[in-house]
Amino acid sequence: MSTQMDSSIVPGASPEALPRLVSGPPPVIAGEEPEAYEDLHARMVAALKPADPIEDIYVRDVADIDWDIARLRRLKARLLAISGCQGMTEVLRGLGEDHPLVLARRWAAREPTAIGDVKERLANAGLGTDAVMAGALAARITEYEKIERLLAMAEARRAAALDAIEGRRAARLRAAAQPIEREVTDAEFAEVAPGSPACPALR
Amino acid sequence: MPSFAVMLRNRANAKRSTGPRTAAGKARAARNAHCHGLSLPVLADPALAPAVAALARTIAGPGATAARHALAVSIADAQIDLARVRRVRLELTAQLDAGRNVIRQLLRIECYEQRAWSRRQTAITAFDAAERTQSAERTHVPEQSEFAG
Repeated sequence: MSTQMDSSIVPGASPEALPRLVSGPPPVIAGEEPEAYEDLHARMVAALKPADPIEDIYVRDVADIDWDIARLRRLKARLLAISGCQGMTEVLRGLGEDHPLVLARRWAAREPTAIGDVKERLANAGLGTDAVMAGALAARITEYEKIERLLAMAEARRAAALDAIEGRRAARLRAAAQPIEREVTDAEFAEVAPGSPACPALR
Repeated sequence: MPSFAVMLRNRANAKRSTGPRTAAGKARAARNAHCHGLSLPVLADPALAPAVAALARTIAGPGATAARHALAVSIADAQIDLARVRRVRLELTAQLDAGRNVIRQLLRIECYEQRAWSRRQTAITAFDAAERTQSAERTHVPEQSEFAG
C-alpha cells in the first residue's frame, strides 16, 4: 500500500503492486485480520513517508516486524497461560500435596471446589498467583527463552530498518549540500584582476 | 569392511531393491532431503525470477543505465530472498500458534533471514553510493570555467 509513493519515482509499477513485489501478501496467520495489518502498514506509510522504492521496502519491513513482535508477545503470554496447570502442580507439590497434578487439573478446569481448595492452601503458605506464574515459567523456561530470543532479534531488526531510513535521508541531505559548500569554498580562492568590475576598490 | 561374500550378497539384494520406480515416485524421493529450499539462490527458482526482474525495474526507475540496473537487481534478488524466508517463517509461526513446538526451526530460519538482510543492506549501500557519485558528477561545474577570463 504505497499510497504516498510518487508515481514519477516509480513509473511502470502501480503503487498498489509494489508491496506485493516487496514482500508478498499480508503476513497474517489464522485468527489474524489482514485488514488490521493493512491498517498498521498504512499508518507506518503515513508516519515514515517513503520517498522511493527502497524506503518503501524498509517501511514494509518495519510494519512486518512490528506485526511479528505483537504476535510473539501474544504467544509468550499464551505459553504462560497454558502452563498455569504445570506451575500449579509444582507449587502444590512443594506444599506437600499428595496428588498435586489431580488438584491442579481440577483448578485449571475451573472447578469451584478445587479453586477454593487451592486458594486456601496458597493463603496458608503465604503465596499468591505470582508463585503459580513463576512455576509455569520454570516449567516452560526453555520455550520462553527461545521466544524471548526471537523477540530480541525482531526488535533489533526493526531498529535497524528505522536506522537505515534515517541514514539514507541524512546521506541524501549531505549530498545535496555538497555542491553549495564547494561553490562557497571555490569562491574564496577565485582570482580577481585589479581594476576589474568585480573589484571596484582596486580600480 | 564387509567380507567379499557379504559384499556380493549386498549387491544382489540391492538389485532387488524396492525403491521408487514410477516417474512420480522418483520425483517425490528426489525431494526427500529437501527441507525448505532457502539455501538455493532466488534466481535458480523460475517462479521467483519474474518478481526479481519486476522489482529491479521499479527500483532502478526509467532509463536506468546497465550498471544502475545491475545494482537494482542485487537489491531485488536479496529482497525476494528475504520475502521467501519470511514466508517459511510465517508457516512455522502458524504451526507454533497451532500448538506445535517448532521454536527451534524458527530460530534456525533466523540465520537465513539475517543473511538475506545483510545481503540486501550491502546491495542498497552500493546502489546509493553509485547514485550519489552520479548525481555529484551531474552537478559539478568544470574547474577551468571558474578561472576563465
